[in-house]
Amino acid sequence: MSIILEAAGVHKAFGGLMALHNVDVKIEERKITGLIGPNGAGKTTLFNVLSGFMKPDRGQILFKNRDITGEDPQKIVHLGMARSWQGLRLFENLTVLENVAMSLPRNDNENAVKIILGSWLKNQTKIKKALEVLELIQIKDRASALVKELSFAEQKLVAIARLLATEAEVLLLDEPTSGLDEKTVNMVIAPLLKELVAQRGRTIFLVEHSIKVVFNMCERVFCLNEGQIVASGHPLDLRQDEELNRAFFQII
Amino acid sequence: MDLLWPLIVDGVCTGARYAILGMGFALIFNTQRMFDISFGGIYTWCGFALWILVRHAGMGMTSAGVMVLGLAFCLSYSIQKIYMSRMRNRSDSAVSILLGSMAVLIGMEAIVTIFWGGEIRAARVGDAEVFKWGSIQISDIKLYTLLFALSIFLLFRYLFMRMPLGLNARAIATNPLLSKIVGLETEKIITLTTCFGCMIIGVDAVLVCADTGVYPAIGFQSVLIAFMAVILGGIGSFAGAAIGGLTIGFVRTVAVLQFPTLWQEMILFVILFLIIAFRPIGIFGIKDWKSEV
Amino acid sequence: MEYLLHILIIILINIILTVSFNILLGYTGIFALCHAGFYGIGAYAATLLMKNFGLEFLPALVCAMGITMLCSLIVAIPGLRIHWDYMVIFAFSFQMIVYHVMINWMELTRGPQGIAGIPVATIFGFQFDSKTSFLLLCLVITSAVVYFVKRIESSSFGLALKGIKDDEMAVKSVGKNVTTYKIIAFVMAAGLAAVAGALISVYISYIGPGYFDLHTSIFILICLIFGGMGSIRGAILGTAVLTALPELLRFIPNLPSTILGGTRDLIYATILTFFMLYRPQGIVGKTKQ
Repeated sequence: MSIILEAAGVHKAFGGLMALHNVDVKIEERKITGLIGPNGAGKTTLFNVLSGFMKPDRGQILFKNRDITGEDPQKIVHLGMARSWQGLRLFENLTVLENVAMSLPRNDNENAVKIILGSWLKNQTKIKKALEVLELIQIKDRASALVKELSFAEQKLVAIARLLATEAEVLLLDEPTSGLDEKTVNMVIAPLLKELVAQRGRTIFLVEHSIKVVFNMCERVFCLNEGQIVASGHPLDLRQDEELNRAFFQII
Repeated sequence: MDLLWPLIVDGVCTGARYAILGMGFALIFNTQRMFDISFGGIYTWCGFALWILVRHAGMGMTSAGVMVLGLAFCLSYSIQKIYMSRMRNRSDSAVSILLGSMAVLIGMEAIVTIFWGGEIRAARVGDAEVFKWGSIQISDIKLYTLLFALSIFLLFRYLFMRMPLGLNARAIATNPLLSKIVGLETEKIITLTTCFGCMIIGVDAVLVCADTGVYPAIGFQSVLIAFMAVILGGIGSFAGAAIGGLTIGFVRTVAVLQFPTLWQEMILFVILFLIIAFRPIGIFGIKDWKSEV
Repeated sequence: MEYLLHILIIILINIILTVSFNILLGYTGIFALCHAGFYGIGAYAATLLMKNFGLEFLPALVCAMGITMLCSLIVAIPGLRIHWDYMVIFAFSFQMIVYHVMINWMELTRGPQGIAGIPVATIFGFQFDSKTSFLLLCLVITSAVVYFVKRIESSSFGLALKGIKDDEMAVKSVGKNVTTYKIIAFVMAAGLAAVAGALISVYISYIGPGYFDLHTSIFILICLIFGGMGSIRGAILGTAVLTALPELLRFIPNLPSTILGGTRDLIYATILTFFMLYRPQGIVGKTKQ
């Protein structure tokens, strides 16, 4: 399988704090890869660097063999990689439908004039696509509700929906299941992520704290601790390693 | 050089005035971390109060001055308690505080305008005493300005900051969330610190009223100056605000050598504009402040 | 009757101002307190073009829009990197700079005495010299502006602006170029303010720096807060009420101008005070808290 996303020799420091130190990560196409590590290990920082929200001090980010180090975040989304946020960062004062519709990429028939002056509600393609995404995530019935009126679980679903709407090939998910109950995770999220990869050709890289989820979904896992990759491999193989087991799989 | 001295003296004294304003606002802003500009209204009221007490109630300058400072404290306390504190815990408190305090400022100045019109009111009775050293002369008020500025600086930098209130204010200024968790009564501390800040600002109102006089819009002017002093000197730094004020006051006075008077005021705004555009932190600012997106 | 027409004209012109300011404040959340500055640049530009170059109204209007839009970049571009809190002071200092330029640049603006004798609005030879005809002109132009802004509000662009108001980083993370959108919003708002500027200059046939100072910017702001930010209906309602209300004061005989001005300011201050405390969403707005 080919490597679609790669971080090579990435260093990132904040003042005196070394957040990422010589991080090498290779993400294979059409697989679900996990990123685990204790709090403060630098997982979100890595995501920020990968998605263009932060520039690494040293190192490169390669996406589809193209160097995207230091590119603007929105450009990277256009190239095909998008991320979700640990704190959700939804548009609280907008409806679920609006959150998703905004994330859809430009249609072919949308020129500048249409974007600025055309009513998006009348754009059939957009509405159709948005509703499709909502259907997939199973929150279509809440389409016209304001995001701030939703429950936490529903908001998490909207966050994933919004990410999907970008139609990006590579999805970086920052703790998609934290705070959700087991049922939702097992019945909605896990099957959805698997389907995205298996049937819709996406690649998923996710930060997770739940070992169950990691074992259930990830074919490969990177372990980050204090800014360094300490191990990588298939979850089952890593489980065998005594030290790792203690350091990671117990804490988490 | 003889011609230069009066200008320099004037510049330093204006700088001292602006430093006082800067320090007062720095106290308020560093603790609150929000743009509460209600002190402008208090400034106008203090100026007019002094004028009324001295010219109409026949009080002596000193006693009137002390009363006005007390008034500054009380006004600030009322405004904070009755109005400002209620908006502080909202999610969009920054907007509310800014606009709300602006409303208070406009309202207070409007009341003064309605009753006393727009003329300049000065409290001075009789001529100024002038002190001389060689070719340097300095009027009494200007000398007092320097002394007050220095005293306020020393008092607050070294005494206040070591007292409980000062320490707590500093804590809140550096880390509001942690302060709350640790159990500091942030509301009370913010209110008290703001009141002291307004008192400092009241000092300048007294000095100006006694010297050249006040008019309703002077409160707003003081807000502008205080802003510039703090932004130039650095957000989060008390000494920086003093230095910022000193610089602005001095430069503004001395600039008359080069620039026509008309453009002088505009220069200040250009400086403000450029500072925010290129270095919002200011000269001595603290880095954690949200100066960039 | 003439007086009523006058009030309506002023209301219509003010609506252009508030509705365009709404693009920045209500939709995008940019607190650019310098709208009167754009208003003024538009007014002076249109005036000079009509008076010194003999342009008719529409060409002068379009050129004035262009000039104002260019000037707005001075605020828009540095404004991209500035945190919200600073935007207020930043825009405000721009406003003051513009005001001082108007007062001091004698050769161009005639300073505090302003420019008088502005020719009546002429379109293809037809002169709008009666109040009635000018009212109709304003009605047409204001409606066009409101329609334009309404289209923006319901467009993808408008949606993105609202997203920027909530969370700028999130908008970037869904692939939208926040920088471009913010600049476009600025430029549009400024251009529309210039339209109001052109209108006011031919209406009163005199303009002076005092019409375009901080006071006016604050007035526009208060109209939005009163009526409700983020909605066109709110902007129109707020503008209509707050423009008409102080006019009632004029009916009190022999009121000296300072008391008139002071009372008006006091009314504004009271409105702002109450609304910030009890109803920050304005009359029309939905409850946010």
